[in-house]
Amino acid sequence: MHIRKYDYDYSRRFFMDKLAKGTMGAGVLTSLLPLMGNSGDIGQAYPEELTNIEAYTKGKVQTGDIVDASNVEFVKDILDPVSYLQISQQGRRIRIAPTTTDITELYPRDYLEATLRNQGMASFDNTGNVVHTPDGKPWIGGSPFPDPKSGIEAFANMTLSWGRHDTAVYAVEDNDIGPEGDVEYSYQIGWCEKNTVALVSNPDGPYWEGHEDKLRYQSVWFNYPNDVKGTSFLNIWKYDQREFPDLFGYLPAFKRVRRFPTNQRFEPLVPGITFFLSDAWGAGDPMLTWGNYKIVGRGPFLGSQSGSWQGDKENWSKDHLLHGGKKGLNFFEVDFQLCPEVIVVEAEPLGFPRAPVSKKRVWIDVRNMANIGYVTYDRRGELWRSFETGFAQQKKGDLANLDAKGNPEWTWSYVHAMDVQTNRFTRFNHAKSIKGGLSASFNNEDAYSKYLTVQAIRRLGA
Amino acid sequence: MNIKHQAGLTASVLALSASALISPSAAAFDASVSGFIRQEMAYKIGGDQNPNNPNGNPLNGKTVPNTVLDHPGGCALLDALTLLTVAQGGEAYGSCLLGTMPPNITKPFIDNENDWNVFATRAQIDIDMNISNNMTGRMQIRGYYQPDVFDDYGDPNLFTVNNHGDEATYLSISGSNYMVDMPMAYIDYAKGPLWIRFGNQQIAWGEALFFRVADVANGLDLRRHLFLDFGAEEYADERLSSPGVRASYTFGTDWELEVFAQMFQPTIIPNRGSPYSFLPYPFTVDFETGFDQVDDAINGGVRLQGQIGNLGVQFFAVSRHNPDPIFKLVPGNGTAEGLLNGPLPVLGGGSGELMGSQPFYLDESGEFGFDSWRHWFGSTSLAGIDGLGLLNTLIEEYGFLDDAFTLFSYFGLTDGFGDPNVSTIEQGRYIVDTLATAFGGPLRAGGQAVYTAENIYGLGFNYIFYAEPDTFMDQLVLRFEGSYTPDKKFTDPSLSSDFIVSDEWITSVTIEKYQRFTDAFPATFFIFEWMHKSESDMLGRHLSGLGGDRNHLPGGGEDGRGWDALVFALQQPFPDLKWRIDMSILYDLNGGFFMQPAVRYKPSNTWSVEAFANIIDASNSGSIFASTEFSDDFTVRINYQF
Repeated sequence: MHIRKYDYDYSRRFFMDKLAKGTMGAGVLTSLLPLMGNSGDIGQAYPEELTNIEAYTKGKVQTGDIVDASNVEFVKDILDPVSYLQISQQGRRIRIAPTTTDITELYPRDYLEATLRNQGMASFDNTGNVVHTPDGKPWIGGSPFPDPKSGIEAFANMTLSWGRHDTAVYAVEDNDIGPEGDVEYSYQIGWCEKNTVALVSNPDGPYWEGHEDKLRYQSVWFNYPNDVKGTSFLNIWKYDQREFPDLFGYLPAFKRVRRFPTNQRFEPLVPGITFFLSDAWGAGDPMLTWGNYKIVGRGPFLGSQSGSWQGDKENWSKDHLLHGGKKGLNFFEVDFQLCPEVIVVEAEPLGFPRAPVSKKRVWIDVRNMANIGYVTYDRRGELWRSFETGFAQQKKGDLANLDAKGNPEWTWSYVHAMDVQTNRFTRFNHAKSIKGGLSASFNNEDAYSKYLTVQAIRRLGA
Repeated sequence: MNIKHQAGLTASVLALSASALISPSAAAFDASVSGFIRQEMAYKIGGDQNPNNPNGNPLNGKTVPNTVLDHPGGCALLDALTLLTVAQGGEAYGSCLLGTMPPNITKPFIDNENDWNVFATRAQIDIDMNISNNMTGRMQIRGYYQPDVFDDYGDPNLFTVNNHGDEATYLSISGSNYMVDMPMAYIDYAKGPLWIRFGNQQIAWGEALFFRVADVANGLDLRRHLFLDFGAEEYADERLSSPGVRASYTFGTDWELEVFAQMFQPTIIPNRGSPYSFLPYPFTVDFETGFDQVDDAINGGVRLQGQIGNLGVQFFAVSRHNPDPIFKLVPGNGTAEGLLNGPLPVLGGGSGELMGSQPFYLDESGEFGFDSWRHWFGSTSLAGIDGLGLLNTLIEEYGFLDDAFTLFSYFGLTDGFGDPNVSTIEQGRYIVDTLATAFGGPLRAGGQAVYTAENIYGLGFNYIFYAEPDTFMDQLVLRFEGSYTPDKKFTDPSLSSDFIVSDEWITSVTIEKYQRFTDAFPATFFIFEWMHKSESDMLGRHLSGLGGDRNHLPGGGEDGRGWDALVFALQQPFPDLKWRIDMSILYDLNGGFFMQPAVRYKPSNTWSVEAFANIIDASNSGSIFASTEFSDDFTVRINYQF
């Protein structure tokens, strides 16, 4: 007989009490953060029913099980509403993986070390921007608030470093599925982001000299199909999160780079896609253009934090995992795990008076501050869209994609985005490469000149 | 230069580029192919035919009085010429004074009714190559087949232009109804802040759309749907590529210096008789001779652009041969029987020139040549040519016609006895009718395209305003571009070989705004542009030649005002971007507009449809739309991409 020291109600009561009192430290049995720094094993911070799905569901769901419409009710309370809808009504399946307790499997190594090294050194200045407290300069790397006490602190963690690497180039295979379950649109997308501050792998320190007034360069471009090939946009994010990025775009029809306004962030970039710039990383807009951040919930959650990298498949494809939807083409069958504690944060787009979104709700895993659940609501307050991101170490058996120091890389693996009102669905796969010869990479020294300048997007645009 | 020579040179440039820069540690070669097939159909929605073509000539099938019969002097001249012709064994065709000469001029009725502006199938293949870490390449092959669905006059060749042998561009093969070319065939080398592109390429500078202020590197190919294609594509299909080298170097984060050197490639205007031909049909232009004089010329330019805070700036200078041709008359090598072949008898001795030394010659078909003053002044004014000035140019530059007009002066047809010049349109009417009657038929003329050298200096800026969210000023984009071309050469409205030389200023101001009116639809994109040109209109015609018509000479003030035009356009995408509606309006302050409502539907990855109407109106011949207002059409394009 399995004797549990703390029953299900204990942790539920604990989280409710913590939320009510506004005491926000992560961890139930003990504080999470010291464990991260000392042993790297966060198992001791939570009772068994928060680290073991079998314990949480009283044996109804076990690690290795498939959750589908037949048993989703047992985990309904720890799914976001769109995932629940997909599993209960659209034939989606998820596979339950063990809860990750080794914190090193939830971060890129350099970012984790910077997070631990720099903890306690962040604060907000009088403009609302995050600064390195000792000198008031921009943040110096890692999650500035690894144990967030407020919604805005949690969002600062997501916003200041999207991909947790100084530089990342992503090769993205996009497929957009219509209400009838057909793949109506397919795009191959290049995405590059490079932080200019808060650097964690830069031997010269946390800042890219001369760029301290910025937060990042980010570009997105399309390599397929023909009618959008060459379309590319360059965003230059200012460090001041009250300001919109500078946006330069290359449209193949115009054959030239033009400067664009950048406040239209709630629109698809190309036909059929269910993705807005605002959705990126759950924090696609400058942090202070949103407001009314508040923590509305705290507790366990099912999210994809491991096991989804398909490094043994051609081009890291997940096509063999497709299922669900009317034609079996919607979803990747991926691993979900019981995440012991998420912070549920809501925010409103105050800087966008006519935004079609009234609020977003984001589930943030306190272990690594990743947004493992994200939904938005329309102006009527009705559930509208989701942007579910799965993260994983790029490791499968003996196969691994290693960083410069020999550690397995950690990054996003897939995205499921859905408009529940129109039943349109978008899935991204983080591929090894896409048409045009673009390969995924991290901390690529050439990335700035190859992908992140006006000159570069003109060249990419052809 | 023949086409083989050109193709070989181009291949050499590409090969040299490749051999010099391929890295020994080249990454795996990767190539991808994509493309599309498109059916393009532009159905005319008005019954009008192109007035520059014989079947659209306003006088087609019309009978008009021969005015020379009303002029005693002219009448006497014709009879005198008749007597001399008969004396030399020629045939008399009637006496003016005796009233036996036909009193009217009748242009034969040509009943061609063209229903289509475009009916073509286009296929395009793009090949993208990843050659090494620093080197990529791209090749684009475009095929365009336009079956002969046109009920047109003379079965015109739609695509062959004798620039490079029988080809219009460096990398093309074409026939009467098809063309295959390579708009892109280049290799990119990028390392750090340096980027070099070698090969056949388009270069577009500036930010103004439709109005080409800084966009001066390349000419346009107007053989397909003129410039009346889908407005949102601007000049993507028209801008002409040519072999060259383009290099760019980025300084710091905000500044970029760019240079290019490119082989000269002239603008290609629609061929004579084609649906969009915009030169008078009796006027046959030789493009080859002019091109051969500059075919080894290199156009070059330098641009510095950057960001100063929130202000984007650019400065540019281009030294080029203007790809847009200007025109002059050339000898037509025509002959006539007897006295009319010259030398003509004038007091004090004439030039001694023969008829073949001047541009005009007889239209043997009798169907399309200048046969009356109405045709002469109507057609010339439509093309921005001063019909009366042209007569005086003929006198000044061609001895035979100086002799002829001097001869006419003896009969009171010119400014005075012995003075060949004419000063009024009334004189011009008699002269033209006299010429056509005397030569016994309608006249055609020979011209030549000339490509002149010029330097262009310019600057531009853009600025984005920030204000309270959702206000008009918030994220409003203001763009300005200006250019100055000293000693720019223009076609003289009298077609003199002594071109107009004048400094030209061109400016454009653009305001752009994305405004979301409802949370149910994505933002609407608005653009408003104003362009001012000091010396010429958007078609490059000098303002001093504009504004005339059959009954009036040019000179309605266009020359002093400069040329101004306004553009207003909007785009409204639907929520999932499957549908988008566009509206573009170009208003010429000289009196005319072009309006294009459009819809784009993209139901799937592979299929898309664009439909739009081109509605064009001109209130007078001073408008840039005077020669295209006949062409209202409804266009549908059905695309399948792979």
